[in-house]
Amino acid sequence: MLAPARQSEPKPAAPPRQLSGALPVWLLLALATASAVLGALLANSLIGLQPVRAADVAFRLAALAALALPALQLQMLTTPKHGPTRRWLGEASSQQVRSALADSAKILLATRAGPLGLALALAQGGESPHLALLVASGQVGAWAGSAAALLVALGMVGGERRQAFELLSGGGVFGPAEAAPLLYAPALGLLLGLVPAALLSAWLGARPSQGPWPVSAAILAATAVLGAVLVRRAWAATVAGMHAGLRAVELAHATPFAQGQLLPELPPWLDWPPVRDALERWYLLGWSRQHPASHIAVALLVGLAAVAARDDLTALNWLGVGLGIGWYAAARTGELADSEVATVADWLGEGRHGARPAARRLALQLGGQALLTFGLASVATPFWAPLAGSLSGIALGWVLAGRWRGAAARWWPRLGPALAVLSLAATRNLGAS
Amino acid sequence: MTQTSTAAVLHAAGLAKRYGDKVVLSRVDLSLQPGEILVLLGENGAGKTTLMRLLAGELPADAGEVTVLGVDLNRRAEQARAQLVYVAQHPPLAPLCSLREHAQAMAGFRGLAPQWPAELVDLAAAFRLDRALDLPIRSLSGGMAHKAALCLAFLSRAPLILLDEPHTGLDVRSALALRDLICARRDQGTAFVLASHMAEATLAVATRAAVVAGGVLARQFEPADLAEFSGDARRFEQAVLQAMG
Repeated sequence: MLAPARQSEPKPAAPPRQLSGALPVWLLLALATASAVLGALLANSLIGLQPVRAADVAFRLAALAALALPALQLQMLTTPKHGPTRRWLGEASSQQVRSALADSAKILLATRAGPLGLALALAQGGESPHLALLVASGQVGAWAGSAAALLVALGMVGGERRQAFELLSGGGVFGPAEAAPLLYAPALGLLLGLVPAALLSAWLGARPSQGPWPVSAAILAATAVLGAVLVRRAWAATVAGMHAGLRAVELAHATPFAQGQLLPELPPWLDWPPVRDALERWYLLGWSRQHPASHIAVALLVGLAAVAARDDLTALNWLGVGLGIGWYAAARTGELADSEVATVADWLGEGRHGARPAARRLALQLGGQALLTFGLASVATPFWAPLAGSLSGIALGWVLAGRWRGAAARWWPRLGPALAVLSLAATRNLGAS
Repeated sequence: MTQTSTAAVLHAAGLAKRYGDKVVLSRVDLSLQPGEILVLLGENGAGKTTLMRLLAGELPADAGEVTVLGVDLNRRAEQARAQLVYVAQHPPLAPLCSLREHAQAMAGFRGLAPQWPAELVDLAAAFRLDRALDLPIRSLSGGMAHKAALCLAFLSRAPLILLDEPHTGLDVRSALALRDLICARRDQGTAFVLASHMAEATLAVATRAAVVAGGVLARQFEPADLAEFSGDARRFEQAVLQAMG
């Protein structure tokens, strides 16, 4: 059953917008240099490891390989659906939008390298309080930069470049608007994953075992101030744009050709046959609708490895994390099956029987993303300066949890990851006592 | 065929393309005025499709330049591409969307005239697609999907239409409909570039023809040349074969 085609209003051919040149070259060069330095620190920390810590090395390498994921996710979120078809039909701006978003992805990638490299460098030589303070400050900046890059990217989509995305919509409405949230579910998972990771890092960072308490207190105070300032600035500069950005992404994904492809497409730079074929055998199997389980498996592997890299987890810890994530996925599954997916499946002519598998698949995707990001973020903020991560995570969670959609009633199903961390904390304290 | 005109719909100069060590095209010059139909002929692998893709901006040239209505295809690609439609042998249609949905998107992107829905129905009827207007592309046969792409190309009202092997997979009735549509649009000023193997079909519509061989336009048939072959496809084929070497 196809939705009736809306009569398109005649509109003049719009000149293509100039979106390139959004980033100055010096900024990209500075980020690349910083990334290279951090990479050197990271390599140095890896070289210094003892063989007995082979598992730790493997884990760190996996985390290193996963550094690109946030950038990949961001680009997948914002890559217009069926780009070649839209371009062939005469759409004029997708290439420019893609170019602008690729710049944001580069920033995100560069800033993501910071926390991991600094943390690992600190792990090797963090005995000096002065060095610790220095590294902690840098880590705060890196975390704030990472959050800001995400906000800026979304804000860019929704703010100055909104008209470009409206062009992408083609002026037609195809299918139900309920489809849109399904399309950016992976990105929601990414952002949601920041919340428990931030909480976990805050809790770990507050432990007194990191050194003399005056040093810990001083570091925490300094990072709190610095983090608050940075996050506040980033937030004030981008929050309005981010709101509009999420709406614009929703719009772009809800319009022509979106419904046929419930999950985001690969970005063009990755959709190159040799690369695609190689990657699909590994992680990118998860992006295929045919293999959702492999994605979850990878997410579990990385996420749980990240948690396991902490020192003394018990069975209760694992149970707490598992229950939280499981509850979250189940709640989201029910929510989707009751409202959104059924409408889409019906519209696609698959009937309501097709709704529940689709809901399961998407909930798995969402849960997997959250878990994966949780793991990665907890890797990046294990030792010092967690407060910035906490603030940015909570801020993002606050936005996503309902305020921007004005749907406070939908708070409760989305608290699963946070509850997982709380239960982890509780059981750790229980075990310690 | 190297004359330059500011009124040219399509102008290409010094086009060259190589894949690795293999030179596919070198020194290709051509110009097309409104209402002209240029048919590219040549053996398989001669470079016809490569030339079409260069002219459509689908492929970057190693050397040379292409302008569409005076707009440089390299420097102002989006604006130039807005003036043309290129129907490849496998056009990138969205498999889960119908012809009508594609047309609706095209209407939004290109700002089609308000009467486009009626025009779409007429085009679909001409290609016997009127009962497939609302079916997903994936449910159509290869030939029907190709006809759907042709419908969209004509619906676009672009001043320049490039068709790569447009007769492939078409039944006789659809081939005749295609010929009639091309001639009608030619009379309205639309310029066409066709890549084809069919000499008879070429003579039926072409105002000019060129044989692609050895990386260049080995022989060019101007309107007066084609007039000499009028009604004698066999002799025309022999001339083309001779040009191919």
